This record gives sequence, C-alpha cells and structure tokens, in this order.
Amino acid sequence: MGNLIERSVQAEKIWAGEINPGSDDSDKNISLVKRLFEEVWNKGNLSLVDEILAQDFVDYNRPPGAPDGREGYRAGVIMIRTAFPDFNFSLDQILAEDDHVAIRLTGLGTHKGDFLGISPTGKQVSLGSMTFIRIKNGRIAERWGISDIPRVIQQLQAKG
Amino acid sequence: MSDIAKTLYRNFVEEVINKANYDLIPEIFSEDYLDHNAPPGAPAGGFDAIRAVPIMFRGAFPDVHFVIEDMINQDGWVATRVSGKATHLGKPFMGIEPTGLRASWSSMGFFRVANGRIVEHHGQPDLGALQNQLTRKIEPGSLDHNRFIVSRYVYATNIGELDRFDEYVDPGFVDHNALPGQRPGVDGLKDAYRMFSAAFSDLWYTFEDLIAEGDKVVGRGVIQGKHTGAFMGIPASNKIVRWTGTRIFRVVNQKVTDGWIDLDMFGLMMQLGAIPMPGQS
Repeated sequence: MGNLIERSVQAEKIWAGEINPGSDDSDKNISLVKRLFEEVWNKGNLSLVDEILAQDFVDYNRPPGAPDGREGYRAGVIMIRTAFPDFNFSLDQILAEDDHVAIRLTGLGTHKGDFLGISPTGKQVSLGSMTFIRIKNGRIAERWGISDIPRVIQQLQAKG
Repeated sequence: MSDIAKTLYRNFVEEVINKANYDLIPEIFSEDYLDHNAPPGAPAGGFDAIRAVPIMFRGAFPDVHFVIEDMINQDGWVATRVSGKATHLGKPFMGIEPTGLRASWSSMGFFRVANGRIVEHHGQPDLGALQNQLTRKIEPGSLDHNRFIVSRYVYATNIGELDRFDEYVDPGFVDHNALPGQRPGVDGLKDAYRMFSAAFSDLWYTFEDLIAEGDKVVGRGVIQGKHTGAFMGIPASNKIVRWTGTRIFRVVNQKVTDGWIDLDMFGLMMQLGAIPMPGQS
C-alpha cells in the first residue's frame, strides 16, 4: 500500500489524530459494503447476496412479514427493484470503525410497478436511508437500517 | 479526536435529550450548527434548531428516553444508532392526538465535529415505525384502551374543548374531590375546569406517568398556567406557575365514571405569594 513517503504521511496523520487508523479490515469492509449497494441494489445482481451476506445473516429492521436471513434480504431488493426498475442508491457517506460500517444513502427510482399497494405512477421518487452493518469473517453478519418509506408514499400520493 | 465526537454525542443524548438539560447545548454544538434534516417548520440552524427537536419530542412524549446502541467514528464524523422509548401523553405528534400508548423506535444520524463542537448533522429517525405504533388498533376494554380514554379526556381539558368530555366521561361522573358547592356529574366537572381556566390561561396538565390496572388508571403529572385572573381571592399576578397533581380515574364501559385528584395547592399558593416561601418572613 503506497510508497514509504505516503505511508509516513499516513502514520503522521494517525499520530496527530487527523485520521482514524481503524483496523486493517476497514478498507476491506468498506469495499464489501460498496459492492452490496453497487452490485446487488443498483444492478440487481442477486447471485452475489450469498457471497456478501453471512449464512446466519440477521436483519434487525426487515419489512414486516419478510423472512429473516439472506432470503428476506433478497425479497427486499426484489420488492424495490420491481416497483422502481431503475432504482439507484448513491452512497453519500461511509464510515468504518472496528468491524462496523455506517452508510448514508439516497435512492432514486421511477415508479413503474406496484409498491405497497400503490399502482405505478411513473413518478421519480427519492428515498433517504441509513444503514449500520457488522462484518464477521469477511461477510455481513448483522444489519440495522432505516429508510424513509413514509416520505416515498407521500411523494407517490402527492397530486400532480 | 475520535473520543471527543463520541463524548459530545453521548452528552447530547444523556443530558440534553434524556434530562432536558438545554443549558448544555452551547458546550456540545457550534453556534453555526446546521441540521440537514430539520423537521418541517423547525429552524435548520443554530442553537434553536438543536433545542427544537428534543422540545418537540418531550412535549408529545414527556418520558422520552434514548439509549445509544452504536457509534462509529472516522475522520471527524460520528455515525450514531439509538433506540427511543416513550409514551404519548402530551401534545399531538405528526397530527396524532395523545393516545397514552407506549412506543419504541430507532434513529440514526451522522454528526460532524470540528473544534470540539458538533457542526452539522444528517438524521434518519424511523418515524414510520413510531407512527404505526401510535395509530395501532386498541382492543376495547383493554388497559391500553383505558389509558387512551383518560389521555383523550385530559387532552380535551388542555385544549379547552369541554364538549369533547361527553365522548370520554360518564354523565353521572363522581368527583371524589369536588369543590365546595360543585354540581354533581359531568356538568359539575366542567364548572370546576372553567373555574381554573378563568384564573389561569394556557392551562396545561401533562402526565409524566400513566399506569393502568383493573378498572383504574393512575396518573402523576404537572400543571402549568399563567395566573391572569383572580384565584380564590388572589388577584391576577401574571406569573407562570407550575404545580404537581396526582390523579386516579375509574373507567367503566369505556367512560370515566370516577375521579380523584390531589393537587399541590400549598406549592401553588406559595408561588402566588399567598403563603410565604420557607426562609421568608
């Protein structure tokens, strides 16, 4: 990783407290999370779910009635991508410390399929979202997330 | 650096939100603080923006309490995950009138710290979960339903809509602490409220606890008002006064049939100057 001078500068910054050294896995953890959103969510590449999520993956904020684990996570992606086929999350901010990662996201999509009982409106909506993730043995083991679904419904039901 | 961000956020939750210690805000936040997700109608910047959110929550949920579940710190930013627990006993929230229902929800945020103060914030509270819990169906005759009836009845008194009593109070209501000469039934109850609201404007009773068991509901609360009219022979002082009151209600067939109330009249009279404060001659 970089040459000697780059590494010294990095070390100085860490020593001065300007940047967080994190564990060696911070960069890897961030790449894994980026892959989840860029591949699975934005491209619909569902085959990667088993590779990115641990076998005993737990989602503490899954939609009511959704199954737990990888299967429930896939169902969530399918539900959103069926209602908004061009759905795209922009990763506004990612923070990592120890085995935890926090992500701030903005989703954009066009409403072309049924969403929570609302027939397609053709409107473009934005979805604010934050997610906390814990990584174990190179896979996502736990997930906590909040998405502003009430605001999406508001956007879909707004006149005009 | 990393510890400062976490310490600042911990103080915000434990002191400002959980203990309503608003005086600490300038020690935690920068004067030019910016909230990227300020609630509609709330200020987006400065100390007023910080105060607005806990004041709004505490007004609706007087017992609101947050627990920090996780903090992730990197490069002057801290991402936070908290869970909140609260009972809807006060003012309306998101257009929902008080229900007496308990709710728990989570909230996440990204805070940036510079020069030892929080300078900006992106927030994502799970308002959908909160809204669902506050509007959930309550089984008639349940303890939750008794608390709901009492909450709505007291809310009607707070907003001065005494006509709404009829929906929640039995016409034969028995006031076990009636004023001298008070008429029987719900009409006498309305007279008693009119007597207080003629003496105190903006009168508001807030439950801080509301406990249901059997056919009884017990509440502990605080009353605040401005003394703008004569009260028991004491002329208007225009003072804002605050006193406590403990109340018990009996609920039968979804109506309040009996009420007991114990008000701190001694504390009220001291604030009005009718009784000297201890240490004064």
